[in-house]
Amino acid sequence: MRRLGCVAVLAVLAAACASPARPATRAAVTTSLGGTDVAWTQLMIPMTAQAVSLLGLTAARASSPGLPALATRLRSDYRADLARLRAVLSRAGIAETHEHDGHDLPGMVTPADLAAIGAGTGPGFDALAARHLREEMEQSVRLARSEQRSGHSPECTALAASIERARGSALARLSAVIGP
Amino acid sequence: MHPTPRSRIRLLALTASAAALLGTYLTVTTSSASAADALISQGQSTTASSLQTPAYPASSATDGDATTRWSSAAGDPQWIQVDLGAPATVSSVALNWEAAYATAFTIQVSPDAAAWTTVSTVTNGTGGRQTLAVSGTGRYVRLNATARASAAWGISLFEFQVFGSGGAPPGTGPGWISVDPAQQAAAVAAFYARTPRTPPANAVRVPEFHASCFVSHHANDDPIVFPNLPGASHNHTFLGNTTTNAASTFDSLKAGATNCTPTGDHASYWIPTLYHHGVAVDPQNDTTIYYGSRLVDTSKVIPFPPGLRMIVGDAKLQTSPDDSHFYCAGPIGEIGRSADGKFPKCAAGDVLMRQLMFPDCWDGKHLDSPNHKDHMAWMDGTGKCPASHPWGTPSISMMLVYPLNTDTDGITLASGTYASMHGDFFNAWDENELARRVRDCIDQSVKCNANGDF
Repeated sequence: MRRLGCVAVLAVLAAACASPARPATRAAVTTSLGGTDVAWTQLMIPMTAQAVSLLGLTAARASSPGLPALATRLRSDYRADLARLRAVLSRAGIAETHEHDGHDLPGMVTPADLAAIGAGTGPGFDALAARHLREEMEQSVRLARSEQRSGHSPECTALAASIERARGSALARLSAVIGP
Repeated sequence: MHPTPRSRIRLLALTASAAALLGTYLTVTTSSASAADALISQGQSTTASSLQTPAYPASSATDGDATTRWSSAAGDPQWIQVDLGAPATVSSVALNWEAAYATAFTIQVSPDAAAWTTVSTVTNGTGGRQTLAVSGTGRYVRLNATARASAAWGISLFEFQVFGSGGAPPGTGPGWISVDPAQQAAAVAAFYARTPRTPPANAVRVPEFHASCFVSHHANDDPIVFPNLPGASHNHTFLGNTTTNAASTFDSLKAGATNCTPTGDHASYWIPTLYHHGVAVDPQNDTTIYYGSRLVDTSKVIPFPPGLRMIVGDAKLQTSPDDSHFYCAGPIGEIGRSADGKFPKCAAGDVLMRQLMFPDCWDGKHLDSPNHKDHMAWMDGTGKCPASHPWGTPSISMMLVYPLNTDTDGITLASGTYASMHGDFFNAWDENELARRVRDCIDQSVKCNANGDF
């Protein structure tokens, strides 16, 4: 007999006409994510993953003093955030949908962007890489603030707070190394 | 009557051998589907590598209807994948092939639709109906075909069934917004109880009404895909409701102003912003948004429920074999192609047009689905709604007219290339105004004017 235990997540979008959320029936799942939480997590995963690629490229190729070391340090921080974001989804029983893979959204570093950056050399490379990194960090801060304002899951809003702090400080350190 | 000692021995022997058999059965890990194994794939979200045409969607292979089928494009490889909703234990897969079958394929399972484990390999398939015993766990199951019976066709399945235990019922989990079934049933009953007005004898007999809406504003917002995440999206051009932003809800749209005629259309319509040599170009004048129906019988079409959302197109798609969707409208028409070949070049005095058509059928249960599409479906090849989405709803067509003609080089969308064109609809029509039009115009197959009158 098929188990009717459902994933215990409540899709609490701010839409008054939605019916009351289905009651949770699967005991193992404790996290409950709302629409903004899911959207934020699903967006942050590819954005962070792409930034990890760019940070790797920057660490290998940048020439401005301090930039390779900063990129190396940030890459490891971003990878930790990526693991935490993925853990949020997997604990909630939600699959990573890859729905934004290749999607050109503010803050994303697309494969085409990465190729264009990689084709650069010297100070030009540094400037273009830093510009994209800055955009990603600023967008991450913006999104993290929205998530904290509108998210339902304490786990997600806490992660957003942590990402906001981390990206904010990364922006400051990037400016210190390469200028505003 | 008490058995004789001999019968008792025989009975005991029978019981013992039955028990031994049962024990053997229970320890066999790969066997044909036992009575305990349920069909866990029906109605679940199904995707595929390609479609021969939109009339053969992947969902037709999991809709429980053996007369509808998925059909892929020709070429290798092809795959079809079903999301069981949650981790499941899979014990068998049943396939019902159309004449275009795969001769070589694998069945694979995955926890995340990224890392796949093969649980069955077929190298000499002969089509027809086949049941494969498998043993594996995963949330996703896919058939991955590497060779086809005919090079001229793709592969086609009437049904792709996964048996086992676990998974989650379709239509549950985050991203699914449900209607209140009792409220919806009452609304439908009240709708069908409306007496349609009698059309005049000379009425044009096509099911149609329309709204005319202007471009209202632009923003990097999307209340469907990125609710409450302002700035998360590529730039959108919003038409109709003037209040749409990342925080919009049905209630806020209903209360918000609109620039549509009729004024009862508070719905929000949006598209990716189009750029010509880097400069934003909006659809000109007012955009006509047709509400019609392509069903062979339109008499039972119902209005969209309040708060229904849906998306058509794919913002991620950056290349497509089909570049015919933008076309020239006017006295002369297409006179060539753009430098990248993806847009027509139009004669001076013509305009560049794009029709965005939304699906024909609704599942009757959800205002939204995780991908904002699964709760809607296209009609089948016979002009009927599939069993999985039995409710005909008006088919919306946005007729986008761009003031471009002889120079169509350098056109991009905020979401990327021509192939990434998509449209979003968030229903906030005044319910009575919508119901009146659907009942009088669509159900009776009469072309109505802007007021919804004959």
